[in-house]
Amino acid sequence: MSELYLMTTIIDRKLLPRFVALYQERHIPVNLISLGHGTVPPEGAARFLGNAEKAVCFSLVTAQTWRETKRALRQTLHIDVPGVGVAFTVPLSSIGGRRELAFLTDGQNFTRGEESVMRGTERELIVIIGNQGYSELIMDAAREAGAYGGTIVHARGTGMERAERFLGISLASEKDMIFIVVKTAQRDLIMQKIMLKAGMETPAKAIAFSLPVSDTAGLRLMDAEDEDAAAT
Amino acid sequence: MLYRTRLQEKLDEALQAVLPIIVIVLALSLSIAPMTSGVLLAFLLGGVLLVAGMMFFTLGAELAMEPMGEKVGSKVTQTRKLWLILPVGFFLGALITVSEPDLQVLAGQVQSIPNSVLILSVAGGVGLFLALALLRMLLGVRLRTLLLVFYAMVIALSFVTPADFLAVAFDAGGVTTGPMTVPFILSFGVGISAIRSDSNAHGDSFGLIALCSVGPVLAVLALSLIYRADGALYSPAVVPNYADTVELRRLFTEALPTYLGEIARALLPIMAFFGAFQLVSLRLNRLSLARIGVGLLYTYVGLVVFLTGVNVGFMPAGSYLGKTLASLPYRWVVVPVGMLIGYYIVKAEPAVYVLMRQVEELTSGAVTGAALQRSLSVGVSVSVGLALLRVLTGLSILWFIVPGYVLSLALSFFVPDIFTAIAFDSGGVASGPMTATFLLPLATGATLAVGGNVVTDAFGVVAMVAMTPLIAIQLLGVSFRLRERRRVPLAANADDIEAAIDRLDDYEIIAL
Repeated sequence: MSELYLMTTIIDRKLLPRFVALYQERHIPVNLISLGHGTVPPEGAARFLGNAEKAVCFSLVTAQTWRETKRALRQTLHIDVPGVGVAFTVPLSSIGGRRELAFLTDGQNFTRGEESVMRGTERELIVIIGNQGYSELIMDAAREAGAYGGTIVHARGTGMERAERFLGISLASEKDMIFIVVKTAQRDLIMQKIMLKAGMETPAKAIAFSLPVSDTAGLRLMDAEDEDAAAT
Repeated sequence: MLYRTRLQEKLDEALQAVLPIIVIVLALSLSIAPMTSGVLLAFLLGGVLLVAGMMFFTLGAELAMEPMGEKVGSKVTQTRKLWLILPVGFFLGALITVSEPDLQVLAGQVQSIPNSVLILSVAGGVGLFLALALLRMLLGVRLRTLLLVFYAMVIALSFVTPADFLAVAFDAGGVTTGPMTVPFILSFGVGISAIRSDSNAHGDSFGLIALCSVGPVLAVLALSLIYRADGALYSPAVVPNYADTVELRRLFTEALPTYLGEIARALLPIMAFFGAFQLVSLRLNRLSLARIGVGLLYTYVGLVVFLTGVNVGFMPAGSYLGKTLASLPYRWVVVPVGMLIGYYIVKAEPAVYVLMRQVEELTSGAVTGAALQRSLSVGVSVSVGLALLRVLTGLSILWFIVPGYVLSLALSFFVPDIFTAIAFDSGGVASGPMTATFLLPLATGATLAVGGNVVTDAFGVVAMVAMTPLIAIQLLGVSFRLRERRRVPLAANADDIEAAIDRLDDYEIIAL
């Protein structure tokens, strides 16, 4: 019952301080923050108004902490209100070192439990890594298969060879990392579309992989729409 | 849904930036500084234009100026051809500066040097320094080293320059890095470091503007020696004179074509530059291009509206305010009032927003825009206070500028490199159109009221506004470093570790 999770919070950038404060209050020791952008909407005037500014925060939590945090996210930070953001957990399979484990779970009431359930989760996180500037191509492909929106984080690729040197600096290739949380049932179709439309044969050179998501907060909208669909 | 919230966000930002100034001036005009209702009404209308202009400008900078600068910066570095990178830097700097509207104003102020000579040498100075700044990045020379060398030259030259001329020369540095230049050059630097993976990459994102602002100062100082310049001219702010509100509107609409032309001229070289890149090597897709096109339109509309509002509405109010405050029996009051205005006015400086965004992005939110803005506000507040003190006392600008630069260069030894780069960049960023159209007239008005020499006393406000942020932002860096040192590593409490885990080896890979 007490596995460790990588909790990923993707929220509006302005709200970040409140989320981090909440996490620190709850003794979550590691909060790694990276800034990202929402993907460009497919059509309409919103395309010409700039990208939504988001922040991505990675934290390590135990199952118990996640349950408590999720409640707080819903009740005090209203994560279910559309546009606020999402939080989800990805189970960890191992961790290096005893002291590190103790540090990461300090104050979080960790006990080593049974093997975590890695398969058959309701949702998955698709991570797509492609060349910078092709996020629209990738998202178009994903949308064709029913994905909503995603979050883009800029990244630098290091490649297999040593970095190219130019005088005193070393050059790297610019990459975009796109995170999309999807229903497990949609996963294969979305990933196939991305491989077809933006895969290695295209200039986007995107690769996609997925991680199990054990629980989410802030995806009420997606749930509600599915319930509507089920009702009709 | 999304686009409504985005516009709302930008509107909120613009209101937050402009409202404090309007409230302060309104409060002053109703209490101790009587204004004619004509001036006040023009000011309020100007304020409305300012909010609208600011909103569009920040949106445009985000959609067009930043991506353009970043893409060109990355692309040109990827070529790994020094013979291409350096000329691109030179022409980029020179072209943008030639078309900077504020430079024309500066050239008009300096009578003893022919306009074309001044404009070309300042533009050449910026171009040369931009190329040099790029070379510095590539060779891995520290920014601090270059700053030390060039500011030493500036200080040495300033002792042999005629006193009448000093203030204008130092103003040149702040003036030439305007709201058009800053977003593009700032993003150009960010684009270059975006494709670097070495450890200096982050710190090097900034520092281009820093060197670009030294260029004009050196150029003007050097010219003053050749031409034996003996002073500068100033054109007094025109007090709006109108009978009814329709005439007031006409005042604004008549000023409009000037700025339509000015901004078009300023935007054109950047567009041409980017267009050439797009044709030769960028080849962006149509959606990206459309977004940049729309963003350019926002930038254009935003700046035209902003400059019209600020020039027609704010300039007379600033001058009037300075005059009335300094003629009061307790004329010292102009100093604290000026400091209050200075604190809030930097928020309304369009380029500041761009810097804030870039800093936040590059440091992944570690240095927040709010912290940066607070430091800038404090810096500008102090500088306005000092500048007005100078107006009242007539002290030479050297007494402020030389210790100021010495202190900021000394501080650069104690703060992380990235803060030095941000600080020296923010000097050029903080002194934009708001300073030129509100703070300068304020100081001029006050000087006229106390009967001082406008050219030596009032001029120099821009230079002061460009200098104090260097100190303020680096102090932010000092506090940042101290905080980092104070943070003690969290030691895991050994008692908490469960017995099962305790038996594990220190280096074991623990399956969960």
